[in-house]
Amino acid sequence: VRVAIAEDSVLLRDGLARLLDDAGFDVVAKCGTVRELMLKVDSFPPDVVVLDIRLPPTHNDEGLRAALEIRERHPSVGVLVLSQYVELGLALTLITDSADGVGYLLKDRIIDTDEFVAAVRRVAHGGSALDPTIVSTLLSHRRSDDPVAQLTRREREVLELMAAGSSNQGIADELVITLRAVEKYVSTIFTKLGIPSTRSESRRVLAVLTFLRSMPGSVPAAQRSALLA
Amino acid sequence: MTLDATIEPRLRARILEAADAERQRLERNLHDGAQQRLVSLGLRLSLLATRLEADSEAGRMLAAAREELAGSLEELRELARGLNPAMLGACGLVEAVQSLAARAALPVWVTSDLTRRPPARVEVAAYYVICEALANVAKYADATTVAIDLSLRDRRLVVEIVDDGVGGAAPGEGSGLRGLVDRVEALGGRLEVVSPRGRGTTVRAEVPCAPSSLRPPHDRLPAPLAAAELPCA
Repeated sequence: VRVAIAEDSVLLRDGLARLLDDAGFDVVAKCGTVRELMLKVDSFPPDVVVLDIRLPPTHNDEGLRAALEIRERHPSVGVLVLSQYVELGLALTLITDSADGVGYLLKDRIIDTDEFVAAVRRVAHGGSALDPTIVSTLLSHRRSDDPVAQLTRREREVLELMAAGSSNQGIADELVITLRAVEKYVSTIFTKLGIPSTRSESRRVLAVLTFLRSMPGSVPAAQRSALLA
Repeated sequence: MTLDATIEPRLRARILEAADAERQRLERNLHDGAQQRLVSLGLRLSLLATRLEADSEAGRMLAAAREELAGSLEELRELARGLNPAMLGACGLVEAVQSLAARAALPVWVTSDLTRRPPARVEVAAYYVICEALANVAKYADATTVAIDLSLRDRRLVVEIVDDGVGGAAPGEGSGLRGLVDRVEALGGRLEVVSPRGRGTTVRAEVPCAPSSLRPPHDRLPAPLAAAELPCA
């Protein structure tokens, strides 16, 4: 699997390259700027790009823009964006049309090397890897009458892993249950939430996030006027 | 006298701008310096871990060190986040407020009719008003719910933070509200706190915001740019 890295801290860039190299990846580019990255990706597209969301010159969101650009120009190249903060809005910007081959993780996750390497591999193969905090943000403060509240604790755990991009097998391994049990949970969840079922594991990431997003923690009009009264 | 009235808000605005720039610089330094180093350190520890037996004494000590490092990184991240709402620039006020709401200790309901983004200065002021108001709710209000409403009315951005707590908030007594008044007034707006004892608190800020100053929702993410147009580093 061929990987390109864009990270402006030399220390971290080398650390990442070493880690991925040790894990059997072919590190084809190590870049410090978006410009360098785009030149490399355009001339010889890798399987996956791992890039920091903040890159020179402004350290604002150059990395995110580059990621969107790569997705537009090279749909077969996976992009894994690393960010100091993980924000739902940015995640949704990245997966507007599809979550295939998209990853968005907190930078600190690199330290959990096994999981991080697995995430890079997943994204390289067209899967997704979304930071668990995104899903937990979406699941916090749910209203008691919303369909998510009807999920059992186990179903909620499955939902969180599913929304983060885990495959059924990945969920089974994580929760130490059988693959069949996972499939059953997944179909129950989809039924309870009323989401049309999909077999594609990355497409369901988008389905679940869109669902959670469509029922944000917005207050019903009656409750709001009671508060304001 | 008239001079004072015109100069003072401008001076205040400049002081605030300078302070904001400094916070941004600090946050950048934390990100580019300490955070990157700690993540690299974590990577090294992880590489070291692969060369040790996981259940040996050294392996366990190393695992504990990695956990501690992960905790430090988290603290550092929260500190940096408080210094500069990085989210605000990239995603806009509504997203940033929703993100704040999701991290709050109590349920916070956010409603908004903004379809376009106010100018950056106005967004920053509104964001800080909301942060401070939420911090005050958590500290003093003993509330169960907070409602935040963002709307554009009569060429003004109106921000309202309403809680159902104990009320009786007195601005100026270490509540951080004084700084907010400065921030809002520097933009020609006003801040109002209504807090009758026992009947919750409403913080309301109005900041002038001309329709012509509004930006598209994803201002920071313009149309795709060609590699050739990217500035050299």
